[in-house]
Formats: sequence, C-alpha cells, structure tokens
Amino acid sequence: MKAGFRQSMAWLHTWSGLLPGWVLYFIFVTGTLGYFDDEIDRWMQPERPVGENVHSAEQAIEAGMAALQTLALNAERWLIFTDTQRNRSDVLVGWHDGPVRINYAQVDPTTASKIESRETGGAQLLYQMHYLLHYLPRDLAYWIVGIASMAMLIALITGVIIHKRIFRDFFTLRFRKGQRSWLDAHNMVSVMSLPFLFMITYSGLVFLMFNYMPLILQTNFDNQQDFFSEIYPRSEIPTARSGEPAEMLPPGFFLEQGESLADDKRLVLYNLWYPGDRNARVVLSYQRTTPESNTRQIIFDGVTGEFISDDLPKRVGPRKLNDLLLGLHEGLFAGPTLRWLYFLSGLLGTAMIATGLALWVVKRSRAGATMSHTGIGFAGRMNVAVLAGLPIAIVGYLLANRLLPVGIENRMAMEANVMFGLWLLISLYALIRPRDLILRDVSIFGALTSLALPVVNAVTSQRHLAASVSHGDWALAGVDLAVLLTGLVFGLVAAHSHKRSVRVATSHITTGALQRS
Amino acid sequence: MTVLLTCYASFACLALAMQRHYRGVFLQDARPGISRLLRGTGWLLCFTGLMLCLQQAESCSLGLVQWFAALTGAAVAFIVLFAVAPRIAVAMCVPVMVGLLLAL
Repeated sequence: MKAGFRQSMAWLHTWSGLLPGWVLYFIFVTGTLGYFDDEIDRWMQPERPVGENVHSAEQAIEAGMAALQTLALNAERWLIFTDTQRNRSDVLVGWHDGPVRINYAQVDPTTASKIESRETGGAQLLYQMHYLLHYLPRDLAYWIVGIASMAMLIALITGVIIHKRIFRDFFTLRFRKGQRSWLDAHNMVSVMSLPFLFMITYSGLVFLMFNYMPLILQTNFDNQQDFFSEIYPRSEIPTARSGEPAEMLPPGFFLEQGESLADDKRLVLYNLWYPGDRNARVVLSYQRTTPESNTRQIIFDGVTGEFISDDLPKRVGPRKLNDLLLGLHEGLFAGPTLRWLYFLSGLLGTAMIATGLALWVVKRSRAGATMSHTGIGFAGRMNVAVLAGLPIAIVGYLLANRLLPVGIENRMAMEANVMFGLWLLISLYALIRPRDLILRDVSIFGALTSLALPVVNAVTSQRHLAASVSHGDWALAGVDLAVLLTGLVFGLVAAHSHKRSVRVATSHITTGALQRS
Repeated sequence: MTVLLTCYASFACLALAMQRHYRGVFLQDARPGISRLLRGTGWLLCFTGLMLCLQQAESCSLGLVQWFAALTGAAVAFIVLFAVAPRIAVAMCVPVMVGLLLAL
C-alpha cells in the first residue's frame, strides 16, 4: 500500500469498527446485562421471595429434595442448584424425564413448595441474544456474531497501532471540544478496558471455535464424538436404574465427604442420579477458586457412600486453557466487587463502540458539511436509533414484563416482540424526523420510559423500590435504580441536545436572513 | 477495595509525574526530582496493588484478574474526576494514602 502502514491501519480500523458496529453494540449491551442475569431474572419474577434470608446449601438441598419427591418421584435425575452467592432466595431444582430435556421449578426454601411465578424470558433471553441475536436461525446468528467479533478483534489491534500517544495521552480527557472530545473519550474508554476487551473478544470466538473451524476437527478425528470423548471423558455413572430399590444416605453425609476432598468450597449443584435405586449416584459440582469455567465434579455412590471419582486430575492441558478462557468470559467466579468491575468493563466496551460510531459521523459531517451526504446522514440517524434506541427497547422489555397480563399465550415471545417492536418504531421515527431533532426527541422518550418503569413496578407488583430497599435486597433495588439512572442520563442528553437544536435553528434563521438580504 | 484505592493513588502519582498534568494542578512546573519521585511512587503503588491482590485471592489466576479489573475501575474513576476537577481528584489521594497506611 502506498499510503504507509499507519494510514492503512487507520483505514482498516475505521471500516472493521464501523460496519459491524451496530451489531457489536447490541452484543455488548445484552452481554453486559448478562453479568447481572440472576438479579434481573429475579426482578422479572416478582412472585419469588426477596433476597433477604439467603439459605445455606444444606437448607437448599433439604427443601429441594422434599419438593422433588412430589414433583418428580420417578425421574432419572434430580438437580438442585445450591449457589447462594447471588443473593438468590428461592431454590432452583431440575429433573430429567427423558435423556435430554430438563424441567425446572423454583422452590420456597422454608415451605418446600413450588413457587408459581410468571412466564418470562427474563434476563436469560436478553443474555442469549448476545450470541443468538433474535428471530434468526442459530447457525446464521453464530456466523453473524463470529464475523462481528473477528472484526472487533481486528479493530482492537489496529486501534492500538494507530493510537500514536497511548501513554502520553493516557490521562487526557477534554470536554466541550467537539470532535477532539469524542476522540479523547473513545481513546480513554478503550485504553482503560483494553485487557478486558481483548479477553472478551478472543474468548468469545473460542466459545464457538468448533462452529467456525470445523475442518480442523475433521482432519484429525474420524468423527466429532471421538474428539469430545477424549477431551471430556465420560463420567462413571451407570446408564440406567438397576430396578432394585435401596435406601440412600442423607445429603449431609456427602457434603461432609465433598468438603474434605475438595478445596473449592463453593458448591453450586447437587446432582442425584436414579433416586431411590441401587444405582443411585450423587454428584457434587464445585465452582473452582480459579477462573476456570467447568465445575469440579466429585461422584459418590448414593447408597453406600463410597467415593467413585473426581474429574479434576483427569483434565488435559488444552481443555484447561479452553476452560480458563470461557471462565474468564463468563465471570461466574466473580464475587460482588469483581462482578461490578466486570459490568463496568462491559459498559466501557459499549461506550467504546458508541463513541467510535459517533466519531465517524461527527468527523465526516464536519468535513462535508456543505454537501450533506446521504450515507453520512443515514449513519447519523441510525446511530441515534441504535445507540439510544436499544436501551429504551430494553426498558420496554422490562415494562412489558410488568404490563402484559400474566397467563396469556406465548408471554415470553410477546415480551421480546414488544422490545423489538419498540425499537423498530424508534428507528422509523429516527429515519423520518428532521435530523437536528431526532436525538432530542428520542432522549425525551427514553427519559420518560425509564422514569416510568419504577412507578409501573410499584403499581403492578410488591417488589417496588422502597420495598426492596427496606428488605435490604440491593440486587433487586439495583434494577430499579439502574433504570432510573438511565432515565436521568437520557434527560441530560435531551436537555443538551435541545439547547443544541435551538442553536442550530437560530443559525439557520440567520443564514436564511443573510441569504435573502 | 484496598486494591482499588491503591490503584487510584498509583494513577494519580503517574499523572502528576507528567509535566503537562502537574502544571494543570499546581500551576507551575515540577522539578525533575519531584517528577521522578512521583513516577517511582506511582509504579510502586501499582505493584503493591498486584501484591495485595495475589495475597488476598484464593488463587494466583484469580488475583491477576482482580488486579486488572481494579486497574480499570480505578483508572476510570481517576480520569473522569481528573477531567472534571483535577485538584479534587488529586486531593482525594491524601485520605486514600492515610487509609491505606492504617490498613496495612
């Protein structure tokens, strides 16, 4: 290339960042919210108890076993989720009827009765959108996300190359300087979160590497199953019931045994295969104290209590690396402070994409102010539609969760339809309104919707802000507070862009008057 | 939390070690000795943060993750505050340092 290395890198940075930018923004917003999926899920099911009295693992297992006795006496396998780090106050239980499908139920830890909570996609659906998008076939979505992630990785590397003064400008952030401020902000948020961004983008690609690069497996293994059974050895669990009933040992026995064997103290899942049968097996899954994703599984004979296996020593090197990358991406190991920092890093990544997109438009609309280019105009409109529209659509999703009648058909799908419908309307609006007014109008709408949510929540449920705070359930209150904060930010943006549009309007009038005279 | 504070102080020292930012706060140039001292203290605090992480965490890898996260959090807090009110951002270091010394 004639233009020189840095220029060509700048070109690559611009286009690899811009073209998938809107998709990446969607991925980052939904993915970042995923770090608080448990908390938002609980908000979206106000029938569940407040996170005031968090039970111990023993209590969870006791209540779970009692509930499963009535819910699924003859199931092949019972699962009781025992992790209480996320301030979760109900117990999630699951059971296998057939080989694949797992049914789930929420259980009250004190009464051991099933909680009848509303049907909702919850934050799980929101979080799944960051790799499945929505309304699209799975494979197509994987490829779109994969291409966008690869482009992001390229944009990150080229971004470091073209940033001339990465250390000298490390602390530089100047406000009210137009394009310069956008660039400062873009640099600041990217450099601050660079380790996180490299990790999250690279590990995101690793998640689906067998989808993106299937040929590597095919050249070395006759079929995929051979590969997976080499990396993930089969656990020593009998394939069926023996048919001979037997008395099982109490859960407390296994917990004691497990604790003496594993130094990882955080039990997240209590598994029971073939309850009440001679072949019963108890599997304890511990969250590792390292960031690795897969839990450590210790298996006991459910009847004799004999230790059968521990899968940790059997893990091979490549699998450990894979587990580490996936674990870092998911951040499930993180305690409260680290979780907030993960969330902050996600927000910084989101801000990096948003400022990058805005910068592209600001730079070009200044250079070609006289020949208002359709492409740039369209990008400017779509920026508002996507960057401001998506958070509003998500607030709309939460509103739908409270306002759609409980018990209607396909409630889960309807919630998502409200979200995307609202987003579509905002986008259409952004495409037809005069350009100077879009940001102001959309922000006012955003502020109103966001500020309305805590009110709607208070009217339609018992889990309103004041109740959550008085119960000390800050995880639940956090959802209301975060939406309120979003509303305030929208308010500020609206006020700012209102002043700006007034200024633009007056300058139009003066130029018009000058031309006439 | 102590790690976040340490990293915050570290960034403040490193920023002041740069002539441009020093002038912004104290309205005069720093003597070279002061700049060197600030730079040294900054890196030392940064390293102390890493040591604290490794000491507190259950495993080395977890400690490293926490250190990177703390650096990000502290940097954002400092840079935004420094852009809005440089003097307050720097003055915040005094209670931070005192608190740290008491904690150690």
